[in-house]
Amino acid sequence: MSTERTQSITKARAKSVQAKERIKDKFPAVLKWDDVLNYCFSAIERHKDVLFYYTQLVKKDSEVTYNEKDNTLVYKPPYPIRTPEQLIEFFQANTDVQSIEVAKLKKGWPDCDAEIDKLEKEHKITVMRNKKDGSPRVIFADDPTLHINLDEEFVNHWQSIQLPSKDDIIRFLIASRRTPAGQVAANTAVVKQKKQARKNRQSTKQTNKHMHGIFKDYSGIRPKGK
Amino acid sequence: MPPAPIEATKSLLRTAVRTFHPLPKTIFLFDALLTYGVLHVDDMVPLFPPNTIQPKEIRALLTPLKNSRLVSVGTRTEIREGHTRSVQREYYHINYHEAVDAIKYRIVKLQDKVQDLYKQAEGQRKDWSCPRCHAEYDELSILDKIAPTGFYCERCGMTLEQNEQAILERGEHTKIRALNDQLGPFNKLLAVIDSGEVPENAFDDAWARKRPVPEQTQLLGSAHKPKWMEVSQQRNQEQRKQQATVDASAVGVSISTEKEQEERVAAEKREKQRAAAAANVLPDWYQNSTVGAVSSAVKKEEGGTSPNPLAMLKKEEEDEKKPVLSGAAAEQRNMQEDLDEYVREMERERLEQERREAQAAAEEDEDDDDDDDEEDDFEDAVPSGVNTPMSSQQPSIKQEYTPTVSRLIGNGLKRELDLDGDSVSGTDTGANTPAYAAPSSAPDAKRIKLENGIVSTKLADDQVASPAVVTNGATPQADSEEEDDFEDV
Repeated sequence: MSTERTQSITKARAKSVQAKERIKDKFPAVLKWDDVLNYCFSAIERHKDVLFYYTQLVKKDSEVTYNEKDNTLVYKPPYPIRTPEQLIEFFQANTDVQSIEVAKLKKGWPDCDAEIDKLEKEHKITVMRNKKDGSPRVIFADDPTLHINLDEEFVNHWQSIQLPSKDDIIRFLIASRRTPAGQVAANTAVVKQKKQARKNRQSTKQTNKHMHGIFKDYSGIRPKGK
Repeated sequence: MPPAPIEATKSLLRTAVRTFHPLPKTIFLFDALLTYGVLHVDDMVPLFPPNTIQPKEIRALLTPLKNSRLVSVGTRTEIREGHTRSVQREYYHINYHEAVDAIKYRIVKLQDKVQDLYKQAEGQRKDWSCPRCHAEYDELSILDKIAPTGFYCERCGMTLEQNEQAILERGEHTKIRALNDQLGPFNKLLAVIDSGEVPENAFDDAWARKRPVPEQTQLLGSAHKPKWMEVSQQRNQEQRKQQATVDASAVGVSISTEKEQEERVAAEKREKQRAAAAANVLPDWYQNSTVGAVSSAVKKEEGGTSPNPLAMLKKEEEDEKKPVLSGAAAEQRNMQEDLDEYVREMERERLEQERREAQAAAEEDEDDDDDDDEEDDFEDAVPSGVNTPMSSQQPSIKQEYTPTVSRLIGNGLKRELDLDGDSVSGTDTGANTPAYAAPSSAPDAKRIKLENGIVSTKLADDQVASPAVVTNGATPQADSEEEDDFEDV
């Protein structure tokens, strides 16, 4: 690559940074391509190569959306979120767990602090805060239906309860007439087996098969042992 | 419609975490474990934005969850790719049975505890005392001794006073109700869980069901994420051991019917026959007469090969034409390539910069903790000098010349490169303009040689850096000539 070309690229790069700043400042306004160009370049600066590189750099920039149809530019923030509703939707649309860096969120939504506090109180999001000033740093999804109001006294009691071994817990639960989690299946299985055993009980050979359906069937209430 | 038991289990556990371990990070980690099934601490770090959390902190957050049985630990013997020694790695998962049982246990105990407090207050304790003669009475024995001012003392007639302790504990029975009200959601969920079957989700189950964590578009570090492989032999032994001690209910017997067996045997037989037939097939020259075949083969050859040379020639011509094309288009493409290369370099610099900023922020935030882990993070950073586009373009030349090469920085200044290998990185350009190592820097070096032969040869030999002064308006006039010179080196 020739030095001349390097210089053109360097210049174009500086201009594209300038353009990006302009687009960012004007966000959320949509800017015309020519307006941005006129803002960055004076008439004598418009060298053919520099313009070529500048066009490429601006159009390809990951932080800028170029609309080919009407030849306009608009800033593209890291997250397409500008309202609390959009934030909640963003969390719900993702099946993977998401963490959002507030610094990045602010690029597109500068005054989100108040809304974040509000959503946190509603238990729609949880917020990890900076130690120094308590400003939000990272936010995560939350769900208000998963919150219960338990008095602090009870919570402290709860924490102070020591858990015995796994088997002891199961024994304790059975003793206090509650179902340990794994036992549900076992109980139902036992019941089923017993029923099946009763059904197939035909010890003696039937000789009067031709009369089936004529007599009433009392086999279900037959006395035991016969 | 009532939720399925498994959904109820998940809701219960998530509610429990939010109630008893209300740190945002803990809640997030637990939700992640529910989503992905099994996670190693190394998998959890990238779930957070870069440099917001250290592995050590994650372990500290998980310990209380572990103690509450909400989270369980399973180990696997694994080998890191490229290493020889195997390591026991700890993976976190959620054992539904253990977690639910622990919650049930604590609910029962909590209810008992609150009830006990009430009973103690209600029992045979002497709640009433006489301020004058200090006689003490329980509630039942004074119920009939009513004076206009209240209960009176049997001994001296003074109005009795209720003990402070008793007044305090009067509210205990309302507490039981409050507790039951507040635990209402828990009890509802537990009823649903008990109505159906919930899988235990022991470690092996959880491992089989786990969902991979999506690859994050991470910063430079993740490219070096080590891969871990399980040590299969040991695992098999473990499994065999487990199978030996497994209870009868878990043993499954697969029975294939006679018909299936027959079909399988028949299929095998058919397969064998086909293989034998293929092996015993008679050669072509045996089946067909060779007399007629020769002529046809020749004909085929003539038909097949004769037009080929022509086609080949044509192709070659086309190939030659392609790179020539028109000068303007080629120029355009070259410019595009240059730009792409530049953009790649820029992107790398940006990542580096971002990483450094985040690192700084993290350190600032965590400076009161003493973190040994941070050193690990530094090791991830790649000396960026290694991957410059320049090296990919002219690898052989680069090796010889890097020490003397002067870098052309975005603003047009020349800058000398450091010789201490590690510090040769993009880090020196803090500004938005990335350092750009132009391939033409090699010719620059050569030009020095012309101007000051002695010094520059010394440079090449000893690899000592000295200010290599190159004028900014470097003449691009003799590009081709310079390249020729290079091949000699």
